[in-house]
Amino acid sequence: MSSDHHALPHIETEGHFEFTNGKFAMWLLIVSDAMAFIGFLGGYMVLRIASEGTMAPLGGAWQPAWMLPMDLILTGLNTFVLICSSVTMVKALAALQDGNLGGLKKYLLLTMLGGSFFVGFQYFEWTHFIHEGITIQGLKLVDLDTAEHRAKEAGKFTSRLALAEELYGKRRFEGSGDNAPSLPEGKTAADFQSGKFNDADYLFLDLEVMNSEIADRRPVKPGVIHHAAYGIPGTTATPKGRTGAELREELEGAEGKDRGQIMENHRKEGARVANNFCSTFFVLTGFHGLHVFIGVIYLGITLIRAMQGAYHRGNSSIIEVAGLYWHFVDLVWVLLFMLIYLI
Amino acid sequence: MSHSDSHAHGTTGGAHAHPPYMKVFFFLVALTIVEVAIPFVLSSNKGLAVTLLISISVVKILTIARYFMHLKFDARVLGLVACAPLVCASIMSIALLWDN
Repeated sequence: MSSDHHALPHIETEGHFEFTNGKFAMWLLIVSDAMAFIGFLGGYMVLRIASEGTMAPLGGAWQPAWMLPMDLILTGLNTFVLICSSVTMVKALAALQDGNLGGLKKYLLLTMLGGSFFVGFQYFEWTHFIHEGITIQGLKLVDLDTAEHRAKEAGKFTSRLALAEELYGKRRFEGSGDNAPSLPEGKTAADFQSGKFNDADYLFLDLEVMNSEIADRRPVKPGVIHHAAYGIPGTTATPKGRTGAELREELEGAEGKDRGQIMENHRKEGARVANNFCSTFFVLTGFHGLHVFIGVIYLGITLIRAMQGAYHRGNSSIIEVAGLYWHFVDLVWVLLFMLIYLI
Repeated sequence: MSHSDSHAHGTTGGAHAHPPYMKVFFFLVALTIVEVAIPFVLSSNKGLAVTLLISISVVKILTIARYFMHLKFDARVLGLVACAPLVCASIMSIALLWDN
């Protein structure tokens, strides 16, 4: 295959896919970009592997289990949309190669819409997480003390349980069968409502509720019932796989000073794991989302030029080059989706 | 790529024959559905789930690169260029293993 605008040495390719300067340059861009992603993913994996065991109460999961199961299905649908946009992109190229300019414009527009939907969903996901207190710096949730203070100021305070249900969802305090969360020994629901729980009780209940949610495969919220003593809201990590009951036992058996140290260790460990997850999540999905956003703009410019009649069969490689970028973005998402959401 | 394959992507009487884009699309969608189902179905066997998920992702990535990015039909030099990051990734992975 040959073309007048070939400046590279003539290289035989199969079918009607040309080997142009632009295509080679795009591959170089993709390769360098891939290395940036690999660097980020390397950091992600190191932090994740290093955290093994610290989230044992959550089944050894590295991330708080708030992604399961609802968010996983939604993100799966978003992945489906991105795959659809990849196929419309190759359809745009095929249309141009067949001399169908109307098809080119139609499929470019559909690809743009798919990309825009993906970015829009990511915006929705981010705002949802940030609203829940999950930020690039770590987990920042409204705790019950703050909520109680606000509710009292607004004259709307009824009970701590009502506040907790409002903050974390009513189902959080429900369970079924053997998976139902149990209260700390010697404590009743009335003690919780009247604020008679101590730090160890709150920690125990927190882990019980979280484990119950996971066992029942109900959506797990990142919030804890009470975390003022731990400093870091939203984490249920215990140092190296201790269960809630074991930690409580340790706390109850410890003197006041040691107890403070145990809680401090718990806080530090939880903070490290939770914040690492949050930071890498936002960096990876943000870096990828930025690529999709740039891709949508790129396709928009390509569409405008197509409407101006800039493309024909003879220069279809320009569309193929745009497609290469778009498919790369799709390809990277396959990896991110697997590593962040599925494993 | 065989001679008969290259014929399938050539020009036939002015109209182009294209790679099987829709078949590839349905294949990718099917793999994605399986992927999303795995954490629910194999939640008790994490080792198997992780192995399957990584395998499926590799198949998806190769499929996208070969058919949508046309590496199957392009000059071999582009395929070599595309493999460059894998070399770097391998070196980095080995180095990071020591870090852990």
